[in-house]
Amino acid sequence: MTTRDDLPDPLPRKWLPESPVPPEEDAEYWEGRLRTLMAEATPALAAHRTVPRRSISWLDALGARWRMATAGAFALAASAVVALVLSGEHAGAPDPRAVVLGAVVGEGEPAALWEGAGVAADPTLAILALENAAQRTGGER
Amino acid sequence: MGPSQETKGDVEDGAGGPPDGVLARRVQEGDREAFELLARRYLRPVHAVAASFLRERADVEDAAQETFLRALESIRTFDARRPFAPWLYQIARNVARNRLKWQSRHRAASVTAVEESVADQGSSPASGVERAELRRLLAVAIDDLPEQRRTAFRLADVEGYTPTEVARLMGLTAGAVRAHLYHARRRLRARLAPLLTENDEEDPRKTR
Repeated sequence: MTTRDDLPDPLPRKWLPESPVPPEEDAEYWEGRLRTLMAEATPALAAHRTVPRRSISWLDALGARWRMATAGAFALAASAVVALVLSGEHAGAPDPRAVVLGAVVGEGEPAALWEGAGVAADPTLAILALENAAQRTGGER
Repeated sequence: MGPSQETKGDVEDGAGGPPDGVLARRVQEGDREAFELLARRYLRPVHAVAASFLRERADVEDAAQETFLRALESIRTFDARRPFAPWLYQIARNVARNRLKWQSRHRAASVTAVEESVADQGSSPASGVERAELRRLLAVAIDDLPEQRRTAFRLADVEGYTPTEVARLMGLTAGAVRAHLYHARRRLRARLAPLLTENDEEDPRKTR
């Protein structure tokens, strides 16, 4: 390691090669160099002004991909929901009478009709349905 | 960034202009004035970097010009939160090095060849080498330094920048630049020692 204190003296100036770079004080030279550079740089600067800056952030790029992926997922989910709804419509609701009879046969008493899926839950109708079912069962026998 | 100024970090010129990062962001949008400010700030340092690879002024000027134009072309890839000077330095270094490679086939004598020609004169090197020859030999010896060491040496000891300024430009610590200067000066003295008389070394400049 070296420190400021043990840095050797510079070589004598008279030994060193002449620099091809003019000193800072040569203002005329440096102004001329600057003018030349600015003239050369003009087209590139104009191009930067006309072309909108591209996003170079990886986060932005990832965000764009996520937006695309999310939109796709929503479209897929929406299609699935529509398909389910349509298939449900085609399947139709169960016949209320079948529910009533099923409930009566299964539970063995009219009160169970109240548990049927929204059928006209009238105890009188339920009794009639029960009797009707009993007659049909007996008739089959 | 003048030879005598002390600068820190991603800074402004001696007149206290906007920081490099602010100017670079404006250049990314095509701001001509911002580019001119940056170019004015780094015009001489970029020439100096080119001169650590190339000898002729015309070559140095061409390399410096190409450096700025390449920097302008790729300014949108520059992350304005990072220091600008080392980014520009890398471009200058690559441009100058490529030009040097192209010229290398036509390069003049090596140190060995010069030393052999001195020995062939039949007198001791110390008495036989003229000052111009000494300078030429030193120039060749400088060229033989490792690249980073040579650049630090030329920027500090030939071009007159302070170690702090050199560090900021090259993206190194000031300590690393001092280490490069330490080894470069020692090595060059050792290379020249057989060719020097006691009178040759006089009036050494003060250590910075």
